Amino acid sequence: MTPEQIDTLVREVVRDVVVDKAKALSLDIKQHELSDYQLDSITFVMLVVRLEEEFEIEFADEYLNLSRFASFDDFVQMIYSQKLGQVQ
Amino acid sequence: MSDATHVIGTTHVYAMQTRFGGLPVEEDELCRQMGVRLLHSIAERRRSLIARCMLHVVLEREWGVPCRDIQLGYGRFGKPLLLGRDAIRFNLSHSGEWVCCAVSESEVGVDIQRMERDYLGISKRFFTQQEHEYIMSAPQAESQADRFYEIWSCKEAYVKAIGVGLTRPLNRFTVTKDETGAYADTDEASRLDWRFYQRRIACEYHLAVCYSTQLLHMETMDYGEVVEWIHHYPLKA
Repeated sequence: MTPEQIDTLVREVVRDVVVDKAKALSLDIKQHELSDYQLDSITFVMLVVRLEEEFEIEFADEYLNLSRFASFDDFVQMIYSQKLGQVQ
Repeated sequence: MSDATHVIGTTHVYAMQTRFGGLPVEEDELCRQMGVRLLHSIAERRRSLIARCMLHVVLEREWGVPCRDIQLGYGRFGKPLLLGRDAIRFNLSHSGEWVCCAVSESEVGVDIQRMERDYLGISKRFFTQQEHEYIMSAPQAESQADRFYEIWSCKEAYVKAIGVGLTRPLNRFTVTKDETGAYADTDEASRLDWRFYQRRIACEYHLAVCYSTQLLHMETMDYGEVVEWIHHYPLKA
């Protein structure tokens, strides 16, 4: 998967999980910080569950922590490096 | 001044239903003075602001801490704390329309959560097997949801009480409920004898408090009281 494909899919999952609480926001996931999206703990863990399903990966324990992610782009980067690891 | 009812070893929990609407002040300025980040989401920012103001009202009226003495700082993992007043601990939580504030003479964590998420994926992935089985063994979907939010709110209150938030993986400890209905944590790393108070509130919310005092007292607060306090808050120019 290319970073662009991952980016698109992450956006879709984010919209699905988060958008109901943040309709008024434009979804520029690269610019906004996670806290701008009302990403409370339960939404964060739900996002992790959905991303793990979608990309068939497992977040390592150290990534099960909201403070590890400043923006949604950090999810894209993390998933990309994991997928790269799966191929190699 | 603080009244005599706050005996040593009591945790006080204040829960409040807010009404979404404008506040009678310049909100951005009040946010700055209360240390609330100017988030893009107005709703989120307002709830955080209301929670901070509620804390001020409670500390001032019930705990005898004058507004001018209230200075907040942060612990190592970001847990807000009251500077210069080590004897008073607090914790805040908000979800949907509800805001909660716990103030205690010992460490405390509070969580309120609206029941709105599909929970089964979460408990399977993030809870211990024992917790997931407890949830799944409920006879109906509705009671499963209830059990999920019972455990979720207790786990959140716990990680907030110990001050680490989600840096402590949720499956490293188990929250159990015994036959008397009391909850307890099973965590080898735990240093304090934690107790839990858990209840459903206003039909669709679950509230949990993880505390370490002898007694716990809960009351609801009127939103109008906080709005009134904000109205008289001396905003610095």
